[in-house]
Amino acid sequence: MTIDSITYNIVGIYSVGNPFADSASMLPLSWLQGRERLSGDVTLIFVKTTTGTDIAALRSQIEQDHPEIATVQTASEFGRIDRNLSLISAADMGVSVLALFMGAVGVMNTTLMSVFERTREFGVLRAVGWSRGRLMIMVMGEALVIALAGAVVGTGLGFVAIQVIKQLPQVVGFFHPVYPASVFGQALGVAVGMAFFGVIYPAARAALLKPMEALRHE
Amino acid sequence: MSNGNEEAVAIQASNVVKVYDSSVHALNGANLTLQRREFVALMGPSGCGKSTLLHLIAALDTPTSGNIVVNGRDLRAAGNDKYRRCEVGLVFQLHNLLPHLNALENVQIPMFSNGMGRKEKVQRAHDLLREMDLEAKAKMTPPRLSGGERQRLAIARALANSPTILLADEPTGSLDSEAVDRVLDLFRRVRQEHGVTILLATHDNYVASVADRIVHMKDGQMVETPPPKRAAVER
Repeated sequence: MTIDSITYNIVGIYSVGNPFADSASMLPLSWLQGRERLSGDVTLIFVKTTTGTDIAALRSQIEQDHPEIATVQTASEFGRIDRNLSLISAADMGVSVLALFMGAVGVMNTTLMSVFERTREFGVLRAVGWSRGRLMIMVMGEALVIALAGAVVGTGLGFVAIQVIKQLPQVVGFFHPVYPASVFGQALGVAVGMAFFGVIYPAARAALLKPMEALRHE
Repeated sequence: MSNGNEEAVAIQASNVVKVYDSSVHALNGANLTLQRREFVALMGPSGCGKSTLLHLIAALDTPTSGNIVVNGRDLRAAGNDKYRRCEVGLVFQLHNLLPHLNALENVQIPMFSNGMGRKEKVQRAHDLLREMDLEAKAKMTPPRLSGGERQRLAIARALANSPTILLADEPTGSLDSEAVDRVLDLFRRVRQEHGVTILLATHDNYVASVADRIVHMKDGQMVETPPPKRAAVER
């Protein structure tokens, strides 16, 4: 195999089940240090343990004996030693928060439009004795039901999207989605929470309408 | 402390003033007394304050000054939701039914927190629709009903919680003569069978002629009531 005009002899193909390691190549250490002009430098060491080893205790011991070394057990922990991964993770979180915020604004906008269009209906309901609280609960309840339905549909679409993304050559080997129950719980919680925060203002606006003004609304 | 005369009074409006936007005087010291089970027609030209007075009695709005007492309850006291739900029934000229709900559901809108179970509510709604001769249209939505049918449905909804007072604002304003007769007959029947006090706002002499008494309004005040012209009014 030739990379950057250098020809390498492949002596074996390995797989350890870790996508991060499986996507790498192993080279003789001294040769690599010489090529990178980093004589004596080691940036990554794989530790093979025997069955039954207490991994946490081992990691703790290594980091205690060699404070200059950080240990990682899974690919997601690489942020501990690679600042870029931490930045990516932070950016990922930022995008998620922004998406949630936009979702909440979307819910608020949609519900506000609905409240505006149904002003006369709310006036009728107030005229026949509905209290402000009951009206508010109705608007919030409707938004939450729509949010739950959206969460179910979104979960299905997300699952399909993951199946498609998994097939992309760029991510094969790196992308191993798992579906623990907690993920679905979080998705449900986020959907309901987002709907709740997005609907508070429209629901309050509907509840505070004066019956006569609402009935006169065209 | 109340006496017999006070107990016989259903609605007492005293010196009621309503000013909109600091300059539009809709009511200028209106006074009105209705005895229990009385059927009174409120007449006057458009803009004389009939609807405003009805809306104030229905606690849909608050007077600028003056006070309104209904069944011994001063409407200035806070919390009129239950009053609107249980003590007064409202019939509007344009029905104000919810178009996406069917007739049966529209009648049930005010029926909550009234101590009835779901089956009882449905039964009550069916009974009212039957009384209004709308039983066959129970599953139809308002857009599929005629104007007269919608108004009868609105009356059924107004009676949902057995109110003691029925307020009707130009209830025949958008109906043809046949539908008007039917609705007026219904008001008479409702008064007899349900024993409600009815205050009906209209500018139509024929409609007003079915009432026990006619009160005339002009420029936001009551004016001297002319003698009833029931025998003379025909369509």
